[in-house]
Amino acid sequence: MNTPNAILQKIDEQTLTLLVDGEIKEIQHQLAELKALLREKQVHTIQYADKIYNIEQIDQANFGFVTGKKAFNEHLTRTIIEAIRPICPPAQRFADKVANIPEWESQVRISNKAKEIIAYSFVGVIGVQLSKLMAIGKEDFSEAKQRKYIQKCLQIASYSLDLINFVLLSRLWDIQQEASKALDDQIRKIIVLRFENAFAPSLQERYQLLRCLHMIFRNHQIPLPMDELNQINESLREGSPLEQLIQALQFLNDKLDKSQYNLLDCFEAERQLAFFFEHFAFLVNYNMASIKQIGYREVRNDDPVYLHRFTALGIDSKANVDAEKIMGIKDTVQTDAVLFYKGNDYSKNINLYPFVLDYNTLTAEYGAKVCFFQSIRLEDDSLEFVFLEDNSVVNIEQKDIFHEEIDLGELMMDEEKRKVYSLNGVVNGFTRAKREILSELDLNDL
Amino acid sequence: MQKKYPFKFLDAYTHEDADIFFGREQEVDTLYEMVFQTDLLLVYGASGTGKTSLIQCGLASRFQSHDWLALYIRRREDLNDSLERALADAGGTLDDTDDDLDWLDDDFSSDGSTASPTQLSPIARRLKAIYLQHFKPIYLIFDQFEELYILGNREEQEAFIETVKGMLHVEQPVKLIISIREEYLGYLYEFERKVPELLRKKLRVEPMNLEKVKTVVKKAGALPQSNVALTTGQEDRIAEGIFGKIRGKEKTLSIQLPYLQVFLDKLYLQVTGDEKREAEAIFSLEALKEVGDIGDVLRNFLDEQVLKIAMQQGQEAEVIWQLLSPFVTLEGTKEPLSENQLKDRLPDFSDQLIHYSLQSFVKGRILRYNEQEEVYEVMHDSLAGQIHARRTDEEIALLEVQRLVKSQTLLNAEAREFFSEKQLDLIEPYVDRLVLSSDEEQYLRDSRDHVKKEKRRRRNRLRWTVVGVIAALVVMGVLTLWAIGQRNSARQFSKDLQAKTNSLNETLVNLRSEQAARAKIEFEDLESRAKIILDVEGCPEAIWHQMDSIASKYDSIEVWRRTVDRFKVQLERIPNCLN
Repeated sequence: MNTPNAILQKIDEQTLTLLVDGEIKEIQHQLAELKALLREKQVHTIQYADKIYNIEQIDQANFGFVTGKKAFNEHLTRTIIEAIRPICPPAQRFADKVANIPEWESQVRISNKAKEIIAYSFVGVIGVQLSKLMAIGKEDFSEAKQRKYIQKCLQIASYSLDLINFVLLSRLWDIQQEASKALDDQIRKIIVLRFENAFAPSLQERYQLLRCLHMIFRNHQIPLPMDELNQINESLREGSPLEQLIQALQFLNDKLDKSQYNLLDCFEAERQLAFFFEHFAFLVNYNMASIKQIGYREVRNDDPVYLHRFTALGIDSKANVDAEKIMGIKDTVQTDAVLFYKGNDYSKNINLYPFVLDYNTLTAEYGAKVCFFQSIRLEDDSLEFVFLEDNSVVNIEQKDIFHEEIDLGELMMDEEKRKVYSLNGVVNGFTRAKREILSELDLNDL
Repeated sequence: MQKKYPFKFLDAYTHEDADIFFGREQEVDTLYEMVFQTDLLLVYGASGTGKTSLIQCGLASRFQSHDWLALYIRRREDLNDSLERALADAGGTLDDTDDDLDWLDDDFSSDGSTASPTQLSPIARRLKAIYLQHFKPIYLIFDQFEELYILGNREEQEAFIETVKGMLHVEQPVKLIISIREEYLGYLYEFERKVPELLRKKLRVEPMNLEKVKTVVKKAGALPQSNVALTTGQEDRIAEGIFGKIRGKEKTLSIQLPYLQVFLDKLYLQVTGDEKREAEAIFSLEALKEVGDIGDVLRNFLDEQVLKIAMQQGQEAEVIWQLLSPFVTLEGTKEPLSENQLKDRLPDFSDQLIHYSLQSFVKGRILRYNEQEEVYEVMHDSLAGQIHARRTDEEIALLEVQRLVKSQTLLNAEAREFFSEKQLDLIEPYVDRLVLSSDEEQYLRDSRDHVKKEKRRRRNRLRWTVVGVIAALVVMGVLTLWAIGQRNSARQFSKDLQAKTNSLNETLVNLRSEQAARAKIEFEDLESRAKIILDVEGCPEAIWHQMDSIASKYDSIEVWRRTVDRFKVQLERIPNCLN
């Protein structure tokens, strides 16, 4: 049965003008008034421009989105600034400035500044992803824009969970090497799935892994590699608001797969992502860097230093020769490492290799090509990484070109062999990480 | 479904043509990889290899719309101005208005290390403003970069290099892609010296080889939405046939893309006769044979079009060539011109003829009209090369003179020198046919005045030199005469002196002879006396000393010396004789 439509004809600050049941009606610009009128006329859908909404879907939060009063990313921008301000000085300074400006997020110049602060404050790759979301939000309205927007919200949540999981896994690998902790079957199963999954894990699988890794650290009283993770115990309990938001995002993902989304789903994705960052706002405290090269300098009678040539990962990361930074410190660092560290304390870092790679480092190129481990390709057990810039898959396989004992000196002289050696190292590192984290037997030792 | 014509003639492929852009997959992949390995990428290759299409279509289609903000920049009048305009158009306005949102320009960074917009260079401020409007990485794509060296001057080049240096260090994600014809790579020496990474990451775009041509032809024919199909089973042979026809007698391994495109268009018209390019066509070996031996497909195309336009306009073909000539540089590359600029260049041609010819050139696909810039330009450098080849020596000379005047006038006042007399001699025969701006005319006038002054100065200098030389000659004559007199006096004096000397010498000789004679007598006397004393076993020491003294005085008389030495031996034998 076709239910009659109400058509929203005109919207201004004070009033809404509708054509309903053949009559022109002017009501106050308030959702309650609108709902009351439609209820009275027994109308269930409302059309504005070329979009039709079910009145039940419209709530106070997304009402501004429907009427065009709120644009893409406005809610997210405001929520994130509020969430990070206690721990992010630029956001705090900004919030102080806008304290007396109502709905500042709707003023383009102010909102742009807030978006810039967000994109530049969040840890490396996540800041870049947020800037992409801002870019999509600024595009002209289209079907493609809606899809891309929802997709990017989901990706940002996924990559953020991945990043935290890789930090935990990396730390766990170090712990297991020092003194192996026994893992119960349920937990092992979840970790094995992450190592052996032939498909990109779902958001829920990522969340489950986070819970499980968090539990390992807690149960074995291992200090968490990120202090802030101590604060999210509650959020990781079953049925917690965080779990619900993951479910909501997963539901949006399903709608996306079935192409059953609309404009309100964009707002829903934005709202859930904003909520997500209320839990993970602490990611602004961290930085990432890719180690390009390690040198050593010890002049006679002087203290020796290691020279770390690295690229800072983030929006402002550059691919110029002279954009790489050099840090001279007493400790060395691991080759091909992608470091995750708090604030500017570069020396206390967690090496995310081989879960997070800078492919350009492995192939001796300038610039950064940051890839996250995604899945295993079943045909040949090679590793599939996702290049965060365009979500393309980068396949890394073991190549058996080194038959005899490797002469490192000779290897370093041959660019192609060196690349293969580095990429083989990723596969070996990954296999070893899995074996040692799960305390598996090395079949080669049998 | 509306079928689509799959060829682009001499237009570059753009993002919208991604579905008909074939044969470049590998190069596109490499190019895409490279943009993540550098912030400054050089794309080079010969004219007609498809550099522009590779970037505007191949690379562009690899990005999602939110992943790149591409700004295509051509030099036009000045590359630096064009860059500024492109940035301003993209939202990079320098908003200096004072309002209550000034605080947005404050430094919000954690450590206060970020430069506030007011401290940034104008270009950096523009880039920041663009980024804040779009939140996308900005790709500045400088197409046909050789124009900076063909049409630009040193100041423009240096200013651009400085801008690039600055852009590589802005905080926003900004990448630069420079596309240049490979024969101009050498011109980049200065640029590379100042920006060493210019040539670090570069991609050479290769010409179309047989495999690529096969891919283009076969895929265009197999595309469901294409209005061109190939006869089933003949695909490879048709593609090989097309390659062979374009290559002609030259057995090269590759062909230029524009030749392929023009040939495919010609083949289509041969099959369908539909100038709207809507009818469906089937390319077959038979249709290919009918095209016959086509020779230089571009030259033929141009000749045909020029002849057609000449007939439409009721003009000689030569007139049409003259109308096209200003759109081509001396190097045979494109030079974009507005209608008014063309009128200025061709003052002898009526406005009406120019206007209608421009329309015909666009319709005939020789020129392209850029609505944004309001300029016309030749469709492709390969066509520009053909137009250049039709120029007479006289035309080339005129253009060289025109360039000489233009390039010299463009230099700033401190750097430029007036035209030399030789240069003016070269320019003067063409002055009536040159189209000069008021600056150029003034500069030419100043040069003439300068040369006149120089000439006058030179004449004066010559006059004074002649006077100086004559005066010097007179002085020299007088001095010579005086010197001759002096010489004669000296000679006489010398003669007299010689005579006196001779006489003196004679006297001296005589004197010495007399002395010697006396010394001989004395020596012989002393010798006999010494002998006597020796005979009595005495010691003639004193006598011997006198003899020794005489012998020493006349050392040329050896016999005296021997006598003295003999006596000495004898005296030494006598005890207590010689002390």
